[in-house]
Amino acid sequence: MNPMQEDYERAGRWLDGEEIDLTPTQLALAGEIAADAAKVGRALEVPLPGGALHRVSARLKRARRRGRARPMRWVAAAAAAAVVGVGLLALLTGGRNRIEPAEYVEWFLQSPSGELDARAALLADELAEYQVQLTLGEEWPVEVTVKGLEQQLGEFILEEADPAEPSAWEQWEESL
Amino acid sequence: MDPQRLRATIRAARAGREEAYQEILAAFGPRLYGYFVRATGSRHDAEDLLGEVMLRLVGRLPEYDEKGRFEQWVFRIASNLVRDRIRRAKVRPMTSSLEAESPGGGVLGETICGRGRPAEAGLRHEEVSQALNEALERLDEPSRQMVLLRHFAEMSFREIAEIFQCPIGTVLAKVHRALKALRTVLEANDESDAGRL
Repeated sequence: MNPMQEDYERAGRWLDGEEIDLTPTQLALAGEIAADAAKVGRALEVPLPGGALHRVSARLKRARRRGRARPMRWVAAAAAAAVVGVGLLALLTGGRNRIEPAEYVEWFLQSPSGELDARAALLADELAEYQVQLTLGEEWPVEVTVKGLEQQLGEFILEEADPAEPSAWEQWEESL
Repeated sequence: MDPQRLRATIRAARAGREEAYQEILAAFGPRLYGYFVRATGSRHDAEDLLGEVMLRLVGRLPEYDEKGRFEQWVFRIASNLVRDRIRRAKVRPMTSSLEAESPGGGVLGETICGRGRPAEAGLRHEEVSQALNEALERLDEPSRQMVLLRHFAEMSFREIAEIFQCPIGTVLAKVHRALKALRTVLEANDESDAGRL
């Protein structure tokens, strides 16, 4: 038997179930292939080892669980990011506006830096008042008081100043 | 699995029902495993690839259009996995050892020693299986795939021709030559069996 391409073509279609007429050569070819396929097919069979399906099934379950959990993690991350974003936005815009000026002043005065600034402002006011009285020549031991106030103010500024830098008071004195 | 039940199972799997995937695995797992063993020559790779093909199935099931045969579609995925694995490995490990797992799932050494199937029969089975693997290895890759897809996936010659993009006549000629080579190996083993008796 020396089949040609056309014999293979027709034998193949016949083996696929097409109802076509075959020549004796084509029929013999189809018969031989079918017999070989049956014999080889039996030998090709490989029994599935015990536990293989169970192992594959477990792997599949694990993968599907991970697959379901992944979108949930993304949703949680997105929700957390949204909360942080809204919080920041509120802080930068709406949050600040909700504080009344009086509340802000109170908060400022209660804060350590606010207290210090308030004390400094009070001393400066007193100093200015005493300087005015001195200029007007009122009978009052203004000089002593003014010097005392200047000393207090100087000490106060020195307490807050960086020792490495000349204080604001020193700079002011130098400028005179 | 009858076609009606298969359609229902596929729909259930698409809906994400775990038991539907398990049913598909139970229905096609044994044949896919056999295909992978003969295509790679390794039982270890075969089990790994069986898991891999099921994972691909989960991801690609929405693409299945239900017009073509499901088996053919699954085995196309399987044959792509084999092709990729062979490309990566370059060398196909086709040899077995006594430490290797036997087709029955036990260790071959134990099978020979009589704890699995009867020692003589187990050894004989392994010899034939080994000879068949070696004969498959000697075939060119398309011929080997055509024989295996015809047997394990029960594909028609037309379907195989579509996969390999060649005429049916070419497929049949290749399958004919490959089957003849494999049959010769089996007959040689039969003769050696007869000689022992």
